[in-house]
Amino acid sequence: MARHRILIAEDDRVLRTLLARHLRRGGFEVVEARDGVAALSRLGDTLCEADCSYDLLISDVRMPGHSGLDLASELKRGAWPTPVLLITAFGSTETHAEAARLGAEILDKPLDLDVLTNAVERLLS
Amino acid sequence: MTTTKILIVDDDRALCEMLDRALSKRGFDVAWCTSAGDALDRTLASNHDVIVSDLNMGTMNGLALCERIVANRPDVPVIVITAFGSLETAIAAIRAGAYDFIPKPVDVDQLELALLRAAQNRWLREEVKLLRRAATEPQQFEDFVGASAEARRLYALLDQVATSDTSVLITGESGTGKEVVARALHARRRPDGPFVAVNTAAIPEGLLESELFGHVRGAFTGAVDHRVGMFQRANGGTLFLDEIGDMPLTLQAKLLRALQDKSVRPVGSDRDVPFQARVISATHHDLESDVAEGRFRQDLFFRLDVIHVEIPPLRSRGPDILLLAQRFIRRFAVATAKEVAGLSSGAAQKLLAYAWPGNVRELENAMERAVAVTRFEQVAVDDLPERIRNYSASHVLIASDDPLELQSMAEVERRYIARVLELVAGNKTLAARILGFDRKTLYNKLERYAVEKVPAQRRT
Repeated sequence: MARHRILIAEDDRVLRTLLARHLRRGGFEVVEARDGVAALSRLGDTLCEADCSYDLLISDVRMPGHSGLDLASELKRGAWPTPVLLITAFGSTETHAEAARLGAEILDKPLDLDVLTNAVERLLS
Repeated sequence: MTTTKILIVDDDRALCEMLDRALSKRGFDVAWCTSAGDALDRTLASNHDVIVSDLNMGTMNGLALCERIVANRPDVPVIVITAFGSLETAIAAIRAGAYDFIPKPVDVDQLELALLRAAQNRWLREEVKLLRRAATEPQQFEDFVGASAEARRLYALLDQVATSDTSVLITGESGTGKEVVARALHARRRPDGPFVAVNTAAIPEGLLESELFGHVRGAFTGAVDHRVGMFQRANGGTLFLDEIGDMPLTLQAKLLRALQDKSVRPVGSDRDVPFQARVISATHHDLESDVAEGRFRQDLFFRLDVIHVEIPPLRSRGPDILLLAQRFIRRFAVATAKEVAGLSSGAAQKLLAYAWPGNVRELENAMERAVAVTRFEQVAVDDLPERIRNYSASHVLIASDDPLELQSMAEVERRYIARVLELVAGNKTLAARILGFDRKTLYNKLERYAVEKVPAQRRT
């Protein structure tokens, strides 16, 4: 049975590595991107090949260059089916509203790993 | 392409009209007037690029007018038209601040050239003004100083962070100014509240819990009184937990609970006490490996890492090295009442080439020592400590008797990796093989140590 593939976009290297490790231990295949541009590049690579596309994008909102909201917006514009889970330290009502408008789910930091895992499983089912 | 705007001043109406026609045809935007009063009003009110004024006017003193214009609008060049043969008047005009002079009868080609040169000169001076202003813009965030691109990136984040109360995790090598940044954030957000700093590495493990959470009388031998913990003391302000990577695991668990519940349990007490402070923590450790190797709790990391401020090492902040050096020199010169102001260019080069494993703190110490020993009015190469004077990037290890010259293992590793990369002409696969890492490990280390940036800095 194929494992689910998750793409993580996060410029905080330590956070990204620990999140990736946590998810890999949970049985997921994880690819890391260090910012929005890298993430878009990864997503673009898999456009034509359905069997190596990503099942979930987890992204920080605040990153240099493309933000997590920009990524969610790109995916929505291209009508890509990949669900998006955003994480943010600056979780204002506007950010939450914008995320909802873009069809993305959003979690506030500090991250609770159980809450994160639940969200991931829910979005992948 | 903007058109050059000209104002012509001459009491000879016919000349004004002639020049208006001739210059408009050549693409200038021309206005003219025949009185000095008019001329001054228009100079002050509008934005001409160049003013052309006749020096020999029957009804007004051209030289006086030129002086008045130059005095009021020194940024607008004045070209004077002089009568044939009156060189002294022309020189007087230049001395009064005129940019150029054109003799009568006016050769329009010559005038056009002079106008274009004057306009370009004005444009260049405006550019320099703007650039200077830009260069003096955010050079600091409270007491954290720096004008480099790295520093500015930091300010953008700090500006955003300063307006919220969420936990902040500050990481960066030793001596990069983590406490300075913590205090800066505190000053922006809760300047009237207390700033309580705890260095968790400096307090013996047995006392740390009581120090942080307080204790009640009789909690342990020697606890003769209630003690208010640091969390409590920081109420309404900021609690700064420095060297959090060194906190023992047992305390990490209690810290996590305190942060989750927003309350602490003093040692020996059976009741929780709420606290109300903004928590900022800092470490020079690489928490990723600490968590991977079980020295730091992963859940505590996630709780602390809400906003992550990473302070770049001094060596990647190029121009800031000199900016900070100047500041330190000034400060120590004043403190020791010595007349020392600045660096010799040789010393500046040494500072820029050095790797600064001790970052800003090391620079500060070096400048303090240099100001103390210098016999000149500038800090010279000889006033610098030997390790800086003799630094060559290829020196991986300086074995010395001076404890100040010893480096951390991380610094030795960083230099060695940089050296190996240099020797294999940047071939990372080969470098990884030589070093005994897999490529991914090498990449991680390169990122962590900002190795790629070192050769670039040396060029400046």
